[in-house]
Amino acid sequence: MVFFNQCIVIYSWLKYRDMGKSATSGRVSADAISGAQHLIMSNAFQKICTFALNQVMLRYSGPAVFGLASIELELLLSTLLFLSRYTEIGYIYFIL
Amino acid sequence: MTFDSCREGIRLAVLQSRGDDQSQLRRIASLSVIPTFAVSGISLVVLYWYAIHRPGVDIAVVIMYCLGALLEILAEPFYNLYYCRLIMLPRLRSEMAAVTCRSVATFLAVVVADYGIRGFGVAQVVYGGVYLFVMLSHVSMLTADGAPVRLSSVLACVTPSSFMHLLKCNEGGCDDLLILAAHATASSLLKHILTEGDKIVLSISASHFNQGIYAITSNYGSLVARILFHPIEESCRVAFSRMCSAGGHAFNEKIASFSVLNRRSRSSAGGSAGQAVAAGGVRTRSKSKLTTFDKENTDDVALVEATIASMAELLTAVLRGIVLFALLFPVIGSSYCRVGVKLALGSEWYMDETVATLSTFCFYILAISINGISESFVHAVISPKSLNTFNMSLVASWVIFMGSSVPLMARFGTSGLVMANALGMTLRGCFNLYFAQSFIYHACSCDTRSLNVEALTDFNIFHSAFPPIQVCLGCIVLFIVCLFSGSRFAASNMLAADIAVHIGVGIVCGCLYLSLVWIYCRSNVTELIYSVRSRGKGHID
Repeated sequence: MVFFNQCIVIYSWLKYRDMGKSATSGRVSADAISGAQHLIMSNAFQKICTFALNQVMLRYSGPAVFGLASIELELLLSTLLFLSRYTEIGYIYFIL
Repeated sequence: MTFDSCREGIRLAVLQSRGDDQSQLRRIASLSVIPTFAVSGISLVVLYWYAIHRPGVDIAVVIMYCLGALLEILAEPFYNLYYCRLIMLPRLRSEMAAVTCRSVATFLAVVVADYGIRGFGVAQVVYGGVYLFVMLSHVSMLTADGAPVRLSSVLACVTPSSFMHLLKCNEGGCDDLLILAAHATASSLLKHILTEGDKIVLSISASHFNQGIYAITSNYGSLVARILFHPIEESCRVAFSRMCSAGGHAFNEKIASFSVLNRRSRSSAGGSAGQAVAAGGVRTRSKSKLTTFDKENTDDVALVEATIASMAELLTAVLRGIVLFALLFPVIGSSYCRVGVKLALGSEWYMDETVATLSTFCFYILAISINGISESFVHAVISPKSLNTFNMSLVASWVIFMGSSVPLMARFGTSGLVMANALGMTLRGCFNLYFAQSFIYHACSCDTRSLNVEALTDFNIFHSAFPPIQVCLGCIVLFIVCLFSGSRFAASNMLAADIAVHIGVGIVCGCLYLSLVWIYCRSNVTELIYSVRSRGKGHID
């Protein structure tokens, strides 16, 4: 899901950035598409690499270790980041 | 995603409200530093709690996770600055680089250095560090009043006086923003709890071993949902939204007046005929209705008719198509989990608990697929009136999930949690289907004479989405064959030849299933393939 979104964002960003520079330049458009393709390919390559590395890592770590890291500590991390970021909204709420 | 949108929406509204580039920069930088203080404070509380209540967890790992969070939050001012200036590349690069480095660091720390759980902590610190570094390295892309922004000038904004400046900037207040901030915070908190519900239950009531089994199952199971179902859901979302837009003013009025719990909204629009539909009966049109037909609105009515007919047609076709596809997992896939775990995960994970949980997840996939498609329809037609009801249904399904998870886990182990998830998801799916059906009845309850719409008044979405009886019988036979093959060839100590035979049986069963589907439901399959292909064009006609 994140990968698809990233691809769309990368493509749109490159397209509209270069449209702003020169709407009539075919060369710029070609560069933009080539750049988007490059980014999408590198993103796909990165996903495959991380998947392969995680797959190997899983074979070496047992269920208990993996469970602690990917459930309890991930929950801790996401809650920590959530609360911290929403303190900012709370501050806005306070000052308005 | 919603959480981010709410957060960014509030920020943009507040930060871009007034002022030149420099004052905007100061506001963003000052405001974004608040989470840094917050994460430090909350981390201390967390560390204290872990030290007292969780003596089994290595405190060094918790410290590393808190440090990782702190590093990630330190990038917050830059994240906001890029966001406000619509510069996306640093964010994309930082996320990509951080995820890659975390994977490499986990691999090195866990596999090569054999740090165990501390390896994951090290990887989290690496993630935060790389994320911050890449964010900082792109600061030259920012400009203020035409000149590039320097890192020192951003850091210089973070002073006590800048907080006072921020306070002064927003003196006078704005009620709308205040309400929006409160709503966004409340809904995001709810979303966070709903999203992390399974992790909360596991952290409270399950051992680390069970958590690991669930995590691996969930990772593999959600791959199917992300890779196969998500593109179809997205294309449906776009298609339904476009159809709504094309439906014109009359159709939007239908959407606005619809409330899933308020039967009067149907009856007032459709009179006695609407009431009959609401009661579940076949709609009977009175002649008096036809005589009061307003000819001036013929175009609008025809457009509403066409829109609702095409929406209902697409929904049922894609829903049945995806159900047929998702049925492959419980019917055939569930008997191949043992082989899959043995080949893909190795001896560390090869145990009955993992196999049973993965098999249960195969059934859960069916509920995920139905919920995804039906929700894409609901999101397209939902009105502010029905939004609260929809949110309440989410909360209700979460309560049922939480309530059932503990007894089911006690009875079935980790599979119990997947069962509880499936129960909650099925309820959500049922609500969505009920919503869709009610909306179609409501939209039909206008003064029309079209044969299409008359047919829709007999429409039963639960019946339409269900595969034909021949396919259901075929599924039962194939399920029994695969189950028998699994018990015969894929016992606990399976040989390579047994695995080959078992996989061969699976391939034959898969081909037979696809043949059945092709014979009895060809139109649904072609519709599904068409919807996936149309995604590239961004629409479905």
